[in-house]
Amino acid sequence: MKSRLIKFLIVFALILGAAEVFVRINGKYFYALTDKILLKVKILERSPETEVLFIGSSRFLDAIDQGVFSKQLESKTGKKIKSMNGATTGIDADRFAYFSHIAAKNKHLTHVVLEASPPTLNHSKAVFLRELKKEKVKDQPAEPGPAASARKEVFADKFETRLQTWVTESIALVEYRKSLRADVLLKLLVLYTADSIDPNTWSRKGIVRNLFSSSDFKMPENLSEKFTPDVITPSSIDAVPPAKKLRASRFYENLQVISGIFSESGMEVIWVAPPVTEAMWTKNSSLKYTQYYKATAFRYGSFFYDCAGSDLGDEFYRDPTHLNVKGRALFSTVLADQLAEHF
Amino acid sequence: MLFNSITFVLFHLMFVTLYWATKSLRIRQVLLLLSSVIFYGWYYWPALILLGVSMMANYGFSRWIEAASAKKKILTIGVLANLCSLSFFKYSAFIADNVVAMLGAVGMSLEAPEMNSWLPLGISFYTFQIIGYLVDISRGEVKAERNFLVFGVFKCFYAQLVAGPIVRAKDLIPQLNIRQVFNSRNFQLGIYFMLAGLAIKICIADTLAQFVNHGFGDPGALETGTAWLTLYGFAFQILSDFWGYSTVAIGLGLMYGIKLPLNFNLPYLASSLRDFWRRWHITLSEWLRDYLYIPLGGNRRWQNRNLFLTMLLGGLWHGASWNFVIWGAGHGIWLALERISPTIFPKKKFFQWLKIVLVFHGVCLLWVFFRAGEEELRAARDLAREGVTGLQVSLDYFKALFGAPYTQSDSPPETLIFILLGFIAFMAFLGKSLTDRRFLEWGLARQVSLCILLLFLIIAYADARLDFIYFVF
Repeated sequence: MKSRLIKFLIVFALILGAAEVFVRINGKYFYALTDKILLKVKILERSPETEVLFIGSSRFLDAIDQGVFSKQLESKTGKKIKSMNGATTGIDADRFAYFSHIAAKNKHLTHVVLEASPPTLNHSKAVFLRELKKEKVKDQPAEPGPAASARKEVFADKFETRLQTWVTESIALVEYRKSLRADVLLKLLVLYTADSIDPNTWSRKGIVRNLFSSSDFKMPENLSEKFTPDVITPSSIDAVPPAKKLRASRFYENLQVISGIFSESGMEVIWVAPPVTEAMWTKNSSLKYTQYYKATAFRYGSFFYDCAGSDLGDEFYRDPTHLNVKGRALFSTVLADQLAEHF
Repeated sequence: MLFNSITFVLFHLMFVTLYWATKSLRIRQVLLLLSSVIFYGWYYWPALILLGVSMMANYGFSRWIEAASAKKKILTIGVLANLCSLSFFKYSAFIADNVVAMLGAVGMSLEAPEMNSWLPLGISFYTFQIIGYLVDISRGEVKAERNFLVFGVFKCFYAQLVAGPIVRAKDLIPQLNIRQVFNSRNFQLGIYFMLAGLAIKICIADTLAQFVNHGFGDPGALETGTAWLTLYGFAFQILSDFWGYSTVAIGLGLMYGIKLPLNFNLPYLASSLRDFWRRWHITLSEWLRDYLYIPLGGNRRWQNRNLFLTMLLGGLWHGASWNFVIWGAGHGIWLALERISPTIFPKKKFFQWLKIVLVFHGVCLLWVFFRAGEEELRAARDLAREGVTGLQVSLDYFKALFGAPYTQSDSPPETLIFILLGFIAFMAFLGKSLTDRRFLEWGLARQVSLCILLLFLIIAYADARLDFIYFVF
């Protein structure tokens, strides 16, 4: 019977060893699964021919259908232009800037469309930026529970912390453990099917409906009139004076920094404020923020398409600040029409 | 030391290796005691003083009871000494607060004295275990153990010291007194139990804990659908937390060649409350039956009173809060009612399932008091939440369950639904393999793939070091 136990242990160890080797070899993919922005970076790397990149929060994630946009752009300009929606939910300044630094190295990229809305302005700890040079993020140690924090740190705590760190740094399976979770592992599928299925489909609400919704969209007749973004061009700087007091400086500075990253790489940066329902125009102070964006866009010589005030009607929204499937198709089409002159 | 830490895994593997590397029974006993002592004093070594004193005192009591002619008197002293120690550490603040409140009600204003706030880990479990041992000696069912090493391991074997199973002397001591022969099947089963228990704890219990803590932390904000889902979440959290712990404990024991009793047997499939207690925390139920219910009179006289008192005290054992008393009383009343009420359900399969569903929901509703009591204990350790009482939390929670109108916007957290379904699928997958030895009958491929899967789940989800629920008790 001992031989059965030995066989069991040997096979167990061999499989574990093989898994460790596999994870080590494919570390960059497993690493990419540990954070949503890393996944976007990896998707962009796998599509180097991308020319237009959208960056923003869940509002942009819901507002842009990259397939519809490219198709519409092609019909307007006659050029095949590949676009990618790099927006993610719960974005923060750190992830924003990290993604921008890496995307700016893409030689094919010519245009970057930045979302200009309050959610894209969140501050955060600069974990990603700090680690940018290493191109790797170490797992943050778990926050100790109330009992642990209340307890004075003793030898046992120090020992366990050191042991935990050592194990995490030495064993790839442990280092990338988050990527072994069932829900995260499914992102491998997202990564590998990114060329055929819009990878954003999986992170939007109403996954099933998104999957089976048609990308063919016919513009309602009277809607194009309603949908007239307020376009601020760099040449119209005299027409709209910059806001005197930019109180939200800590916010818009994030967007300035990101604009700067792409501008320095010779890419054209376009700012777009996605549409919100009428109820949000004043409630969320969207229009107040818009003034800041306008002023800042002037400074950076960027175009600013303010669609926040477009009165689309509730049928195009899934909630006051996010478009639904129909709204996405509409907005992607209209935006492609609007931006066609840049290509 | 927490079972779900890397330190513990290495610690256990080291001592298991040393244990089997030596053939000397005495050295093995020393290793078991040493490992248990290190385990207990790992975070807070002064706890060892209490453990040591208790160990020596009870060793003395056991020998004294055996030698004395008036066994009952010595037994009473021994039991009282243990209960005093338990009361001091666990119930002194509760008793003081209630005495002060009662005196206040009759017009005597007093300030509650500053009572002990340190609850030694596992004190409820090892106190019950040792009381059972002393009673068994007085009844002549076991002999007092003369070898202090063996007695020490019986008192504090690290596999089950903190949260059970509560082991009987007649089951454990003989296993410690013989030189175990390495049994590869037991060892393999031990690995499986250890992995399965940790996976249940880490993947299910800890994940559910996030939702449950949120829900019970502010029950007033819950809407009906979410409140029910959170309650189901707790029902499965406490099961997977405690079952996970017990399964790990059994696995650890098996790796030393020591068999510990099963503590759970698919309790939510019980078709009556009586059946539930035969499946839930089995070793505690048996302890309560043998050392409380039967001495109170058992089935011989005043059966309903005995049932009620047993469950009431069983409830109080869980924690120093009125909530646990109400929880125990609720179970006591239900058991008594169940005994006297006629069978109304036909013996058809549908009705059997209906009974299971009804029992499950009844148990869930009583869990509200239990979890709210736990919330009170947690709040007592958190200055920012001073004044939170279990009764208020229970009341708010019941309001959320039955009072809050169901609204269209009441969309229960999808993740919680997925986790609950995941738990059911997971348990259906592991199924009876956690209650018997069928794992050993499986082919090598199935065994290895299941163990690898469990290990990956543990690695993937082992993010935060969360205590086991029963550590609070």
